[in-house]
Amino acid sequence: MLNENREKRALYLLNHIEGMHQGLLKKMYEFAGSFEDAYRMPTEEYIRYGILRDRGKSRELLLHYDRRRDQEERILREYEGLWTTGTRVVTVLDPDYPGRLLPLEDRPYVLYVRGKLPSEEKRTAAIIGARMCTEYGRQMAARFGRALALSGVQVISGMAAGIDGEAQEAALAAGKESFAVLGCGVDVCYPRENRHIFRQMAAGQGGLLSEFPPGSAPLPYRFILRNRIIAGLCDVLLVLEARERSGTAITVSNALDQGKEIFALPGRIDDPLGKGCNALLKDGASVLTDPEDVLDSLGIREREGLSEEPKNISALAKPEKIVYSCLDSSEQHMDAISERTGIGVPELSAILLRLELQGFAASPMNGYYRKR
Amino acid sequence: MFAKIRCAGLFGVQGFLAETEADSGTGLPGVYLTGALSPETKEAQYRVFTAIRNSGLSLKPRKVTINISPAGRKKEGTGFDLSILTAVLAASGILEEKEISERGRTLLASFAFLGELGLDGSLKPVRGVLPMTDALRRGGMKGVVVPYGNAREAALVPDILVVGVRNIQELMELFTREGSLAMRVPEAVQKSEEDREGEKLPDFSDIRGQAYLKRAAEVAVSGRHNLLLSGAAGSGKTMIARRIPGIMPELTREEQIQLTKLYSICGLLPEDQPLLKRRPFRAPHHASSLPALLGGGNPVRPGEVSLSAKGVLFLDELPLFRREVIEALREPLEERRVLLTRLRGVYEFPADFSLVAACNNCPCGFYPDRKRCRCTPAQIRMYQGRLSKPILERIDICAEARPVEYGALSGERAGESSQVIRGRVEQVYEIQKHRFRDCGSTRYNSEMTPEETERFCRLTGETEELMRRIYEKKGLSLRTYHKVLRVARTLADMAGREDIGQEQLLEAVSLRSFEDRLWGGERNAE
Repeated sequence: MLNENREKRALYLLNHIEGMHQGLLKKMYEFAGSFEDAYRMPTEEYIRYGILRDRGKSRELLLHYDRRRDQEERILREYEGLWTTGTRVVTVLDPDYPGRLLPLEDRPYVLYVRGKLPSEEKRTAAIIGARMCTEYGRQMAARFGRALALSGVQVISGMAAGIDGEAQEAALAAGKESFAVLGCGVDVCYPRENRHIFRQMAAGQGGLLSEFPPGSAPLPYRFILRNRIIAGLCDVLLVLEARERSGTAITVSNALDQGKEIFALPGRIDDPLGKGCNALLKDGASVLTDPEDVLDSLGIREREGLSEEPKNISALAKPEKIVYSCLDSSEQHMDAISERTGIGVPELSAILLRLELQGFAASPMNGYYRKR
Repeated sequence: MFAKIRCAGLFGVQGFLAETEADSGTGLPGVYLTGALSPETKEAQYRVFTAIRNSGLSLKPRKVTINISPAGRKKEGTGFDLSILTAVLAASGILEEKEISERGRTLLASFAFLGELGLDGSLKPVRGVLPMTDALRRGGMKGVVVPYGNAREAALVPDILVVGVRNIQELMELFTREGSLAMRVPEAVQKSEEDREGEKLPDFSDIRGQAYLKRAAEVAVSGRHNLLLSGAAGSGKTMIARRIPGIMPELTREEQIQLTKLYSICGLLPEDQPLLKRRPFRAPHHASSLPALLGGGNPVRPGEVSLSAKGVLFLDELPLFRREVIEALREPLEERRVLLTRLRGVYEFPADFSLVAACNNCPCGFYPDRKRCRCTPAQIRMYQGRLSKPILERIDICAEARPVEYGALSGERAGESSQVIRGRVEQVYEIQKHRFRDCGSTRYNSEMTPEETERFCRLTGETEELMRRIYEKKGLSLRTYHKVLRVARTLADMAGREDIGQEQLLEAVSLRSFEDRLWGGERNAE
């Protein structure tokens, strides 16, 4: 398959030289004029024009380049095996390469994809935020993920723990597609607790994208790199909760470079997780208070799933109503609820569990309850 | 001349009878000490002969042979000194010289002698006097002579005369003068019992807030369930744990004696308190070794699981304990005793303790307070994953402490006192006693076998329907299901109900152990 398209084959092989990175690939391409020529170019030529250097750190890369033919067979064999995991390779040369990424200076030349690619026509929103987020952050992520997905917006994110995963889970649970850009190979599920949404997206309810070859481990630098792809793929970027200096900030600066609109969820001023968002708001990001804000910005008229159906609490018994009214969107310890309602712990724990069974409350951890 | 004096040795928690034989005869002057003695026992010859000299008595240069029988049984400790001394005094003829009284003869014939000698002739307390005295009584001895410091402890054993002696001079007076034999029991044991009443014990009313934790503790004690307290550092987990022995019913006299025996052989008995009346609270450090926890060493001593018998074994920072140490607790938790097999035999120690464990939720201890906790999800998972699953399976109740905010404490009013709670617990114990009167080894709700759980925790009608809904919604395991039923049984007992009601079932579910959440539970279920 690769052999039919010599240019794609050369690109694929170049991309698989150990230590290869986008910047170098770009230089080689510009120097040689085509990937095929770049791949055939003798090492000496690159050295002469200073593209490869025979000293320092680059020396290793140079050696790998020099011995590229030895690896050729192995790389092509692995390519043939990719289909067994349902993985496709999409390069910049392919017609289905995401159009949104083409204008990027540092676009990935090769993408590995499981499931689908994001649709070119549909409006796309990225929802990102802290991994260690609050319960409130989780709820908001779920709310925006769901509302946007139902209104026909593609939700993309990084499938990280916390905000990312929560937003995507909500979009998937609403029966819509969601796309994850991973900082590891598309066959690696990281973090593990998101494996259920990982599988859903891999199976085609949306898709998984990565610029790193299958099997790549989730290394910190890869997450920093993948952030530019998330920024590139979206039309608007929603930041829900972030610390002041975080991976989220990197995505935001990428998105700003690409001229994307940023929405930030206002945070409490004493909450470290609110600092990042509030700083963005100060710098001119749009205030995120409603999914409609985003839909307006995207120019979407048809809206669905925006109004949270109000819970019907009339069926609840009186003490349950009292307890329900004391619940909060952030989790509270049972003792705190007991103090507010004046109901003793033994009785209260029974009431809370009843509420939980009826879908009015949730217990994110032992002894803690929140409204649902 | 030849003399034979009764004495006793220790094997594990049991005392055994022994005899010290001394022979003083012709031959090269010297001392020969035999009878499978450990080094410290063998050193008795130097203590005894020096003490005799320093007490103003003089021995003729003779060949003295001393044997402690049964000679094949290993003897440890310094408690044989006094019997060796007495045997030597009798065999060397000194007692005859000093004109032994009628009382003296009775002592030699039907009393046993226990105690360690100092070089100046003083008598020092030894370990294990209580179990040894008990063994002597059962062996039919009329009385026992012990160091003064051990006299109150020995006097706990009924039907045996106890004579406390401070030094060799007093011993000689006993032998040479007439008088009553029961005279030297020091200021009655009762006195020390009175002393303790006034003592201030940690009380539940000291704890402000933490209603959930207190409730969990009461439920745990009522049904003798093992308890895990989780929560942020400094939220009062240890405070609660320390107060748990105080809400357990009082020990019976028999239990007190058993417990005192254990502490006696470990030498942990305070001199002014011969009888342990309070339930023990033991909190071994998380760096504790296996022998420290289970028992072992040479000579074999009981470990923390035994020292906390009838009381609370508190393992703070449970995830930091070494895995093999924690998992070794399984057997004692099931069997309620520890068996240690050694070359010389099998030692059996009781291990009838309630386990109370505490853990933080993350390495820094602040989770779920995200303002202060910066642990990553992976770190938290790893930390919680260190909790040993086999032990969690044996813990019925888990409760999460509420982080205490600064300044929130002052407004709280004091809660119930331990005494009030204990009153309720005692009632629940009565109910269980009645329920399990013909159930073999089962004594408490927590000990119910699956069959007994089915029998005593039957759910009916709506309650059963509710359980089914919870079971499905929460994805409980069968093990958790049984745990929930056992705790619900306890809650029903506390409420004075025959059957388990919905409220009890619901509360039991909310108190359940979180092993399901850690290992393939709820949220992450696929």
